[in-house]
Amino acid sequence: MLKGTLQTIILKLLEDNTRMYGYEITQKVKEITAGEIKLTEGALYPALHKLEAEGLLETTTEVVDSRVRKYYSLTEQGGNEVTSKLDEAQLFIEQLQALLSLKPALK
Amino acid sequence: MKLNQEQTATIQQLVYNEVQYNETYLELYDHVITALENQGPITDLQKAYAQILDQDFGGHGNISKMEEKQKRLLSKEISNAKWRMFASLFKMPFLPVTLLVMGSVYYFTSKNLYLVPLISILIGVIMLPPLFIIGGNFLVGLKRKFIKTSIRDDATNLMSAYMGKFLWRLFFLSSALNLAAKLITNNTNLNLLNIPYQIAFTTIFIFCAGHTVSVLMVYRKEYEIRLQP
Repeated sequence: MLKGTLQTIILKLLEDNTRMYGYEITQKVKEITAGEIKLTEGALYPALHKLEAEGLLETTTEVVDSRVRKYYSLTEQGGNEVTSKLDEAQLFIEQLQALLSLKPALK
Repeated sequence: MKLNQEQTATIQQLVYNEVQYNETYLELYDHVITALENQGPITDLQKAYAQILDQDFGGHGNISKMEEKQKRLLSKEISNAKWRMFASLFKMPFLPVTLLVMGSVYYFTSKNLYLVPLISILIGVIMLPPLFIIGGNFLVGLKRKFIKTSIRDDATNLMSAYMGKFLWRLFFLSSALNLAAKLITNNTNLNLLNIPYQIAFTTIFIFCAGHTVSVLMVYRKEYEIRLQP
């Protein structure tokens, strides 16, 4: 996966799903990409903690089957950041397509 | 497949041995149990656990790296909040109070008044953050019953030790600089630290007092965060 895209993926997933826990995020990515992209938790958790430290995510805990589960959700600032991150990703994909002379997918 | 009580206890112990901090313990424990429950029947629990650790987290070494990274992030976040608070003491609405304290300390030291109480207050101000934070962390530990040390304990301990380290380095560096200047110029009477003592004392006093106020304000917020369920 390209550097920097992990944060965009996390923010986008949380925008679509309101709140998610770590394992759920990895499974969702696996499901959407039909197993082509597998997020490792070794990269996911540090990224989640970084986004939380930056104030883009907030956490809540809930007891599920006698164990504590930590849920991540977007803060207001995080919600605003999703759009700009998606725009950046879109621009990057277009530039990459231009560089590799790929035709954009049919709409 | 739902794990039975014995299997859950085994995983608890394995995760407990794996991690240093409570936050990682809770997250890793939930992750491993959820991953195991989503697998087919388990023949060898320890092997399945090791596989999850290797495949999902990149093995044991990566867990401690993850914890170290998270501790650095938290320390930075807390430190930034502290310095933002410190800077706000030199802005409205706190500025008049800061100026009043600064003026009073300068006046008393210039007139050689209340020097012993002032020095005692300074020592107290330097000692207060570690005592406050150690006491606070102890209380949080009693109320929350953490399984492991909280990562926030270590991050706040770093903040409490800051002033002691800073003053020691300041003293060491300034003395070393002065000695080096004396040796280079071959002038034993040279004193680079020949600053009027009332200015030096007032500066150190304001810096230490401002730092302590900032630490206490930031820690109060931290304390509330940590008591949240």
